[in-house]
Amino acid sequence: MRQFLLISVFFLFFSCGLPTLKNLEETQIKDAPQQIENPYFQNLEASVFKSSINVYGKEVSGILIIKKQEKDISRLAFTTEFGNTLLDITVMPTGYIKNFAIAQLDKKIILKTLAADIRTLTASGLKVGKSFRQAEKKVYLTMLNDYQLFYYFENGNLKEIIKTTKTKEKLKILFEFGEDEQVKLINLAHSGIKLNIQLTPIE
Amino acid sequence: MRIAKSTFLLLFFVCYWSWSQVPLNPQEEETFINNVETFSQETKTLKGNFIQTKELSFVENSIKSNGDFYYKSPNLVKWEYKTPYLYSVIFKDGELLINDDGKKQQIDLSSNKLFEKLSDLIANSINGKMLLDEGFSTHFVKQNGIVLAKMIPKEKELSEFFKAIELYFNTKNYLVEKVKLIEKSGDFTSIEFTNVKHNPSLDASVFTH
Repeated sequence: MRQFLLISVFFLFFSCGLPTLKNLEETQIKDAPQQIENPYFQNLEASVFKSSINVYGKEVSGILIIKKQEKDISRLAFTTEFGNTLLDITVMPTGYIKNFAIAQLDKKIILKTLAADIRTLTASGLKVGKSFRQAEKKVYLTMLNDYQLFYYFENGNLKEIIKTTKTKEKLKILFEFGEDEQVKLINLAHSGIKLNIQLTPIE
Repeated sequence: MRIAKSTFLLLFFVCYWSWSQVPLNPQEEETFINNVETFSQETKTLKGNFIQTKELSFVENSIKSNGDFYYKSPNLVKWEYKTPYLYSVIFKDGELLINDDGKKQQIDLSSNKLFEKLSDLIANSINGKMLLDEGFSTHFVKQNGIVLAKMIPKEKELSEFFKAIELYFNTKNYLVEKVKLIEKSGDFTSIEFTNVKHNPSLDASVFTH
């Protein structure tokens, strides 16, 4: 019993530390899905984005191509606007395969971070653990590898994904919509490092 | 049946003839290079449209963009994407002047050898000057009214990027009609030039950032 209490206090202590949970009210949602599908990366067609990557104040722009090859495997290529491929990696469920990287980008930290971001962005079929409400939003908690992913839905549209450890937010992915209710911008903002990726879908 | 067979054979040979590539002999090669050099020297300005197509092995559909380009001798180039996004680059005095849909940026090329190489490549492929670059081993073939220069980069900086660069010259006016940048993986970018005007008057404002 004492041990259970200790674990509960320990869990409570760390749960309270997570800012994501502060404005969430755990609740049963009647029509809650059993698993989460990201509607923007559901099929196996390639998505092409004009992208802007800002790392510690330095900005690099180019074209990012993401293609889901299987449910949990994606391939991404980053090219200059002129089409020269700078980076090409296959994102696996727990790692990545480097197909090509120019010397300047061939750094483990860059490839690992980018692969993790794309894994989070394209994840699908994740089992819903808990459900929450935040005003009009329905929020579902899932797990991806050792991370918690909070999916925020509003009027049926996926608006935000927040990736956290038990205590810290690591990544926020915001989906902005145009008047035609199509996604106009995807913004990936990291909490621990000054890295921001903006993706504008192009035909 | 016999007619069908002979029609098929005729079609086969017509197709084979029109697509077959014949290497230039040394004399033809020398004449061709001299003509391109003369054309390049006579070229003060160029302007036109381009269609860019990127082919990736893992993507079914090609990724297309297009826009306008401007060139002023010796090495002033503006590359302006209009569809599907607004993005322009001016290569000027060792700098890249970028306008990304209103967001302006300036990159000093001397601090980035890779971009410097890529910039040279684009500027020199428009006017055919690239053909005279000794950093490539080049061989020429004739094909259906064009001369194709297949260029293999010798320097590591470019060979890390490209397996080959192909320039397609119109044999009547020596304009480059198409550039194909083939990467080591076999993926490639093709840039086709259309509506090209030779020595048009260009307002200085075209090259202002």
